[in-house]
Amino acid sequence: MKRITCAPRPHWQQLAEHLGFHFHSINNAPYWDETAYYQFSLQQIEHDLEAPTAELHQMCLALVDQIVKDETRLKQLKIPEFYWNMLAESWQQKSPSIYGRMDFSYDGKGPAKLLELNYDTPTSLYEAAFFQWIWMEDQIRAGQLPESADQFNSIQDALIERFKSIAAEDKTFSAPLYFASVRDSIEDKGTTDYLRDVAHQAGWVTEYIVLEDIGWTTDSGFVDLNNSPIVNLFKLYPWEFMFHEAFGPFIPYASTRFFEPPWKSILSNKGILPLLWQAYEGHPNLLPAYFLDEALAPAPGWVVKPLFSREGANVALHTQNGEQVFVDGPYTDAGWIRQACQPLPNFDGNYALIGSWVIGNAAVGIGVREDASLITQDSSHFVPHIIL
Amino acid sequence: MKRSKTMSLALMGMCPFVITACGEQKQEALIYPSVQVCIEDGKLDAAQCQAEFENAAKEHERSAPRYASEHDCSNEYGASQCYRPSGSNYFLPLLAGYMIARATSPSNYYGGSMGRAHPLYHSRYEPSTWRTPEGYRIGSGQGKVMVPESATRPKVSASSMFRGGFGSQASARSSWGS
Repeated sequence: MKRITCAPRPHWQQLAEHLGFHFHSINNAPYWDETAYYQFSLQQIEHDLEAPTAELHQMCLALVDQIVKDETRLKQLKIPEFYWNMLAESWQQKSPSIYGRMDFSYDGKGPAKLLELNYDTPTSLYEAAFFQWIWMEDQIRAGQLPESADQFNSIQDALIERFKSIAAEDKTFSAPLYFASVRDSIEDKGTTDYLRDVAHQAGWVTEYIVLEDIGWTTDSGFVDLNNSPIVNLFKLYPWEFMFHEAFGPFIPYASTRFFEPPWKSILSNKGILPLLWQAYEGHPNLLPAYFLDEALAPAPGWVVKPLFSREGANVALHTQNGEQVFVDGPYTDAGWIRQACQPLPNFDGNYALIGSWVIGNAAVGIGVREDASLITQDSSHFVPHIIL
Repeated sequence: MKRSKTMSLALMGMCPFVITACGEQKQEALIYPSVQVCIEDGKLDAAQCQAEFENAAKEHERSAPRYASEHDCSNEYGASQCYRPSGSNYFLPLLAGYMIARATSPSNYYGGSMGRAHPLYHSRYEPSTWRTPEGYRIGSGQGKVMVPESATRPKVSASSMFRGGFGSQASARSSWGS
């Protein structure tokens, strides 16, 4: 696994804007970064990332099957009891899921270690599925990359197929599929617009609605701004937030079909990491992890994380060598876990994190993000990769 | 090869739309762009064609999507396809046709007090496809057609109504994408 610097394409920012990529830079700081790329061998991709991702995904599904019936573990995950039936039903009905992202610490040599599952609202999808593909085709055409270069990325094809197969088995297909994200996030709107685009390519009629504009009527359930019923809803918004908001209690009574489905809330919770370790202790791609009753400063070689944080917030890391990193944040009101510390590999001062995408039930691609910190945050850059 | 073979964007970039058909429980309905065409088709008599058109027009006033600006409306329905009803502060798309769905009671086959007359529209990018006020697409046929059953249900008016019940946690914390 190598990090190789290269020349950005001239006018790449104009291309990005033209292709709807409006968050390529955030507050004037670069996010998409094509001054370098990562290079993997096919063996590294297939053996160390693709296969373990598929295997871990199946292990997770097997665990969901147990957890939906298990009060003790549902309580450990801090999922409110009010929603337990809804979760169990959505699992038993096999409500389809679209996507998820596993984050790995991987240096090209040892087994990739699972740091987290982002299985409800994973982002960086557009960059991984679309924009890095375009980058590679452009660089091959420009002679900057050999024609034999490849990329572990059939994410867009897989997304379109997934939306098609959901439509084929579905009774509510002729009703529009709404896509919702919060009002004030350009990045979230970009990811949501991209998913809407691929759903559209798969034949769905689609609409966009700002999440805060969703209404509820006693006749029609969840409705849009015209009070038309929302039959199908993709939400880029976490279940664990919705459970605690004003509309939460209505959800089990709504006939809206949600993407991601409610059962995904079990996997998008860091409490799944200790539960995975309990069920599959010693697995080469898992790190030891345990529940904590309260936030503690981690001992050397451990990381403490809240059950529900995002973008590295409230994570405290302590390497074996004594290096300590802490990111502050607002996620202090639910439970905690500790996980063995597997530091991200350092390439010229950049700590690289592999995001491995699962579409439906298949491992179909990766995206690489870098941060100057061992804890990957909002400030991270997305860097493309090739297989050579 | 471990990557997608082609790449395109339908909505985000500058590409054309691609639409495919749907499949769900279907039922019979009659669709006409005007009272005249309904009369010519001969399935209903002239009085029925006119009465159902008037029902659809009333339903149109009640349930057509409302837009704050002509620009927003035209974006969906096309240039010059929107108007502001006098005395109101919103824009509506022009009524393009009407659908009379088969009644569920066998004794009253089409229309009348047992049936439902629905307003229909054409959208900007699909000028021959019919759309209901809720946005359901029901093909481009005329006369006797089969339509998805869900498209023939009447739009209900909101009796008790709340909005904005999602999103408060996000504004309390700073970010939620992961």
